[in-house]
Amino acid sequence: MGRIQKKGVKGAASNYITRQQALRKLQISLADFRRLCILKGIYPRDPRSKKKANKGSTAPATFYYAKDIQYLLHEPLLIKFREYKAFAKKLNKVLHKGDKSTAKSLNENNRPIYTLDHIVKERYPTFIDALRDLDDAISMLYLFANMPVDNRLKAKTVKSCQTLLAEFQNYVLQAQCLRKVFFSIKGIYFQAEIKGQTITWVVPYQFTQEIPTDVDFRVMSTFLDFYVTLMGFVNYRLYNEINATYPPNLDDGFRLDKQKVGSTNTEADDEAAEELDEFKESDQQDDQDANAVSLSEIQQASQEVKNLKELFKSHVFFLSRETPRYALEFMIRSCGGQVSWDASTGGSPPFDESDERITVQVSDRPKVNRRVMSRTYVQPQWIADCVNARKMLKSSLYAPGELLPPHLSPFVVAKDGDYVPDAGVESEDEELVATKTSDQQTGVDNEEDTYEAELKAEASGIPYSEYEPSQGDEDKPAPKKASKKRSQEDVELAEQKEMATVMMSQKKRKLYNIMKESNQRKADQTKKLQDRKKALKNKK
Amino acid sequence: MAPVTVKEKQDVPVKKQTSRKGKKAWRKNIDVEEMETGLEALRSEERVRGTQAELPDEAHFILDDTGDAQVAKEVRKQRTLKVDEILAERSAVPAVKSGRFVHDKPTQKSGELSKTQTRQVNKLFNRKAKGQPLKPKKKSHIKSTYDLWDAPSEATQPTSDFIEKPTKVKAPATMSMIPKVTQHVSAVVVPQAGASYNPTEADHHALVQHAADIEFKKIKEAMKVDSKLARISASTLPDEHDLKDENEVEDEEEDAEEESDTEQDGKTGKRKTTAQRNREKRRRTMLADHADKQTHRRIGQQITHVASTIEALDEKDKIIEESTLARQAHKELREKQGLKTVGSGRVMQPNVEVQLEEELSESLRQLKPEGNMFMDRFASLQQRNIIVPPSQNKNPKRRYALKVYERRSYKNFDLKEAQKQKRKQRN
Repeated sequence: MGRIQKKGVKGAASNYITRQQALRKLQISLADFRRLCILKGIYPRDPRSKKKANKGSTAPATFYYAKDIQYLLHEPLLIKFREYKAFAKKLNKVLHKGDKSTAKSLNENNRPIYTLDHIVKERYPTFIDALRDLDDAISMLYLFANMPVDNRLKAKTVKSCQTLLAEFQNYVLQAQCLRKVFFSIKGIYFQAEIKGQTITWVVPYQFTQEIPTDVDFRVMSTFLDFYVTLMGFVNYRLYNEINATYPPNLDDGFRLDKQKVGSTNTEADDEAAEELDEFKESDQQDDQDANAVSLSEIQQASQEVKNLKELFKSHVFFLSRETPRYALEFMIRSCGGQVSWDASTGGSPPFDESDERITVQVSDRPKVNRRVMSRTYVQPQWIADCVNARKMLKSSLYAPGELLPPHLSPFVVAKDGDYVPDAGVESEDEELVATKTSDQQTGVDNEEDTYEAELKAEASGIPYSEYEPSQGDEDKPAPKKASKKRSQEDVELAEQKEMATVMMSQKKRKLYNIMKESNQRKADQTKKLQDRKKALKNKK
Repeated sequence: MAPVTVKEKQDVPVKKQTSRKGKKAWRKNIDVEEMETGLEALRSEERVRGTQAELPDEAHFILDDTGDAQVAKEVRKQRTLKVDEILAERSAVPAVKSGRFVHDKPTQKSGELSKTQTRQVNKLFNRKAKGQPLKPKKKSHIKSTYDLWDAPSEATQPTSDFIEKPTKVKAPATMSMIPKVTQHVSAVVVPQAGASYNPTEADHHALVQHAADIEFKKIKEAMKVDSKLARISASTLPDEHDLKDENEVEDEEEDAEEESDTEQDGKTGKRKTTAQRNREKRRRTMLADHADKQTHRRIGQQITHVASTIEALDEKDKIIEESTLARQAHKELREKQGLKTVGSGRVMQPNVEVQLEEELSESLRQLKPEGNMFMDRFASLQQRNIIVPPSQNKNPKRRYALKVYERRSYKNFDLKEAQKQKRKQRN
């Protein structure tokens, strides 16, 4: 037997430390400890055996890694916290005596200020790491940007939130990296793509939010402080990337000083970078699917993004008073359009309602008074649906007062064979494309049928030369043109499948057949729905 | 009279005692030796040196400067201690103060201004002299930023060989271990398609079903608890009397067992006959043979069924493997879902917001947003194991009653208010 180990020296007992022990070790208050953990990114842990970690006691306790807490001892913020505590004591004493002038001078001169730069640098050593955590940051900033000021929330903080968000939105406008928009009942969800990272954030609707009593405000304000610092640095870096000065001169409403900075030179770079980004995205899918991603798909994706960037290029929009101005302006401008709004909503609109250049007016009223012939009147959902579909949809479906087609979520990824309800079908040329795609799908189904029949024939012993494909011939010429591109990939896939089926055992083959049958059933259902739709359309 | 030794007796001449009665006797027997010798000495000195008048004072007298040692000793005894002498010395340099009030600012003399006040006055004077209004202090809301990830390395100070460079503290490996939940659950979870403000029927129905499932689960849990409580009624609980009876029965049983044990254990002195012994031996051998036969039979059976046993073992192995895989997958899934409680607080799950068909709005303008964003973010932070959920208030009532005190200054409240009013009236 080896050396006798003392209890509590190795293993869970020494790796984990409870919150109380940590407080005693660091000699700070619970509020300060919480703040430090949030800032440094120290998470509560779950040991496998709580009894061992807590030295035999099963009382509920919060555990942390002992090494993390040891590392906290070297944090320079601890010193700042203690200084602040001493300052607070002095200030309190002076205030209670009633000596307001000394209190004021103390507050101005002696207040210890700390910055979180080193913590940001520690937690995000590279810029990409910071981008990964950006969605939480942006959502948090949006929360506080519209809050009223009170004794807990300072005006300075709210103002800094607003400016940072305006700067970030302005960057997204300039770089045109907005990809998806979703109007939900909770708020507006945006997704943008910056340097290959997809960033999703939520913007609450412009209503007064109240902070419920369950929520710990100090915790949220700690997060806010950290994210404000992070956002400042990220914005600086982003503006450097597009060769713009930081901080930019923004009016109320993120308008730059009439300088479209650096975009002409970097358009080509953007395109190239974007194709690479799409390639990267598809690479990730590649790992998941284990199917070869065809070059055509990549090209299609990059083409879509290009379309998105120039979606509203030649259009001039006007937003009525009742529409959510910030969100719509952001969407329109990031797709290349020009927009103005009613002067009563605030900011300095570039042009008036009566301007002749306006091609589209966005209004949310049941009726339009004083229609102008040259303009198309739409509801705000049209813009969101256009952005999601990456093309200009039929505006007659979205006319004011009309029953709108459903607003689909762009974040839902349709799997193969799922029925995708076409969002308020598209412009006229779209209908032809729709029929083509449905034919393609039926073509695929038919190919599967032929393959199945071939397998059955092989199993029953008929050699291939004698086997005659019975059903597939009729439909083959029609989809042949459309599916010519895919024939080679399809053949490869078919070969792979054949190999796999031959190697399978009886049991597995049975399972495979069951699977195929269920897939077939699903495909049949979607086909049925599509046929019904076609029939309705033809009736119309 | 002291006893006289032989020596003394020889040394000391014996004197005759004469009578001194009468004037004549007094004059006759007087011893004049001493006086004679003394005078003789004087005369001899005079002969050697000279008369008193002739010699100067120094020949007759010696000045004793040294003084008496004894007296000196006593005088020294009366002197003060060296310590006291040193302490009594008062130097021009004041001693350093120590104690509680060391850092007190020096009291201001009336009519004089403190440093800050003089500075302020000078500023005011300069401003007035130049005739410019005071510029308000401009506080920048956002501090000037720099590129954090591309910052140039700090200028190195001139280092010498003997000065050690300050080593940066390295973060431990555990800092980079992020919990699985935080990695896998995204920060902003986009709601289902049915949460759109204008959803399709199918999506909306699916979402309502989802929300309803969650609610039903909660109701089921509550019902389970209620049913359990309902089952435990007063009649099913054990009664006092029942407990007593049980104890009595137990005691009786124990007594009976003890009695039977003592009978068997004790050596009562019975001897076994040979017949009995033979019987027992036969029994023993029979049992042993039987056991042997059984083992042989079993082994034989196992040999014949080797193949099937191997198959059975393989199947068992497969089952074990599958179960381990399933267990691991389940564990991973549970880890990715996150903890249900951290410490003593329960983790808040994000609410599934859904609007019923009546509540769905027709246009974006008429939309009434559902749910609180703060709660959403807070719940998301808890679910992702970033913060510890707030501890539940176990005792919402106060432990001790609130005590209300009144400050001394509050006694003068009315007086102060009256003074304020007077001042206002005056102004």
